Amino acid sequence: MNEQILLSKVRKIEIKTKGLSRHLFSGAYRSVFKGLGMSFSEVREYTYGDDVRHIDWNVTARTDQAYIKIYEEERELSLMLVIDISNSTFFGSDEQSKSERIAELASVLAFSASQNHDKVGLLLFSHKVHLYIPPKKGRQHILRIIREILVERQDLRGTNLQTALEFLRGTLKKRSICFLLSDFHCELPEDQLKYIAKKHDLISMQILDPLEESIPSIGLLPVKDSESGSFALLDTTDVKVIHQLKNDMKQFIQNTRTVMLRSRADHIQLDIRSSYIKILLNFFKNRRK
Amino acid sequence: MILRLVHFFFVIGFLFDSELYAQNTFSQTIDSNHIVIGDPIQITQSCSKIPTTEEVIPQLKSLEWLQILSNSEWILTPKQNYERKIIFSVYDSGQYIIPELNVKIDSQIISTDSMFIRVFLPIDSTNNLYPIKSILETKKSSKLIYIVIGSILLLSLIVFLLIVLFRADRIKIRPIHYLSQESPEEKAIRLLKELNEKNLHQQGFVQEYYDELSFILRSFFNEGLNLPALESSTSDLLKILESKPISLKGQTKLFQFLNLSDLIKFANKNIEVEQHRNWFNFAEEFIQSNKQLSNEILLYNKVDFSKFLGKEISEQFENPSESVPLKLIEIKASELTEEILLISNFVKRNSFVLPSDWVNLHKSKMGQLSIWQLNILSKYKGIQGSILLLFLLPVIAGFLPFMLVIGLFNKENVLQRGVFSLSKNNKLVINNINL
Repeated sequence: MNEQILLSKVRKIEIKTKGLSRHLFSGAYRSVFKGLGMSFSEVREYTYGDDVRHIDWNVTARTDQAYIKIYEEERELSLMLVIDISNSTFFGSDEQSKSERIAELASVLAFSASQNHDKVGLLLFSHKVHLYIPPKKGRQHILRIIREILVERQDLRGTNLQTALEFLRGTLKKRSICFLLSDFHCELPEDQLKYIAKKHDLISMQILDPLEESIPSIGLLPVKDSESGSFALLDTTDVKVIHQLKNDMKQFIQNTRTVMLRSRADHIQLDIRSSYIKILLNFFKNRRK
Repeated sequence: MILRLVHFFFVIGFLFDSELYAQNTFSQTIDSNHIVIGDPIQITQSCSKIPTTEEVIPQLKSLEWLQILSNSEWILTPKQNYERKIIFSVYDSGQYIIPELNVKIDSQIISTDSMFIRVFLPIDSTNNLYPIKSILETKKSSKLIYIVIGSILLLSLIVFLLIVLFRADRIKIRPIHYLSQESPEEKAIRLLKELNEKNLHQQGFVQEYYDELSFILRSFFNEGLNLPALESSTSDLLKILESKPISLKGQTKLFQFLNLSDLIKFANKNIEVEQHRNWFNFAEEFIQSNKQLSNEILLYNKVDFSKFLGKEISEQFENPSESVPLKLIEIKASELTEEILLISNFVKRNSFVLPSDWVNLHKSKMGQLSIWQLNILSKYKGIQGSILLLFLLPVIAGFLPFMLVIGLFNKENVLQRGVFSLSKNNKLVINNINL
């Protein structure tokens, strides 16, 4: 991809998602992912109704006026975006591909974290770990993350979630919020998922294309597995075949969901054609409960 | 001189001799002088050195009126004395004297004091005998009343349970009173008013002002015109709008505004101060002039069951053209479906297919009793389930009060049914109370 096109894409994503994160997701993100404790912020004059336990006796004695301590939430959280960049994510039957939708979602989450002064990190993987960016703060850092997600890479064969999670296990020592964005067309390492979900706050997002769930009847359709490279000719007019495909997909989605929930990770399923705003807001709303 | 030396040694020897003898002591005490026949008495003997030969016990045994019950060994006390206890008893009334006893310690013979003991006859309580009272008859406590009360309570609980389980998922449809909700244009006008009160551009926060103004308009697009404006860039939005058969009043000016606000927000463009107010007025005008269109679109896009779930699934509902409650729209995250079983007439199973997320919500709202009934009837199909449920009824009725109390503590209604219920025609209806 041309560097100029790439940069304009990054900028476009920033423009599209910054407003969303500022107006819609920032507050929801803050209330769902709470900080680790409370730290002293300042003192102010005591007013009727304040908790007497918070009175700062030293300041009160010095000034002859009752003062109370104000505390604020100690955040400094780390958001780790674990993103699948395997070939299967480059499929898209609409204007956007799955990888572009992943980049947009990652951007919304990253900007929401940034609004709340949290650090954002990135791990890109396919059959191996391609890139790891440790969590940092700042707009430039987030723009770099979006750029890294969008940039074209070579040698993207299959998807190996096991390797990615093992890498994450070894690298990420501090408790973090981990968003795992993938289509999950791979084996799910339940043990690793359980471990990551136990140590960190793991939220998996399965991004799928509607065509994956149901193929319209358009006659003989040559299909290629983007990861293994194998070809097949699919008769989309055959009701049995379509029914089988639909059932397999249903089973696959259900299985992914079950494994994630069994691993104590939160799970969201998104499709690239419908709006993700409502789904994300609902997720935040339900998490708050 | 010799006489003086002899005298000196004699005095020294005498002193040593007397000192040597003065070290050996022997004493004895008795714990009581007055006893009743057969009561044990204890003599405690203490001495500085254990007697060379045992003479006390034989001397005591020689007294015919006294019987030794036990005697302990000499033990060394913390005061560096030796002590032992002799327990004896007397089995005849009268007055007795234990004579002085001679003890030999290191060739020194020590005599103890004599001790006086008075032994009484026990008080005879049988002299004042009273006639034995005749047996008083008491009234037999009748358990019958408790059995009757218990049976009535259990029976009434069984009847109550029968009614609850018989009705099961069937409900009477009540008219729904919808709360008036803020329409998208009302919300947008309210937000504009709030923005005006913030005086953002007057304070120099121009970027924030345009950010909020464009966000209000985009939200109106999103909610009122059902266009994905929030997650689209201005050019994307224009493309979307062009692809739809919608003609907005003031569309050209709107895109001028959106492009301008993009430039202000992301490229720090400066514009004249008077224009801030003009754009605000335009936003207000735009919303007012497209109010009619928004209402038409909302009506067109009204989410009813047939539109939301498709014809096949929606036909299971009593009224497929009814609006889908917002909560059900929000909760549906996937296209997966699942079978749901609703019970009527105690054991009749009514099967439906609904989105999995809805089924999960339904199950999460069910009380313990409903879960039991459903589990029994899904596991044991046919007559087996009905018989088992009937047999279990008295047991559940017995435990019902406890279940209700536990439910009260856990803030859950054990009798509650799920979100979906059955209408008279065995069709699905939403139980709004449980939703």
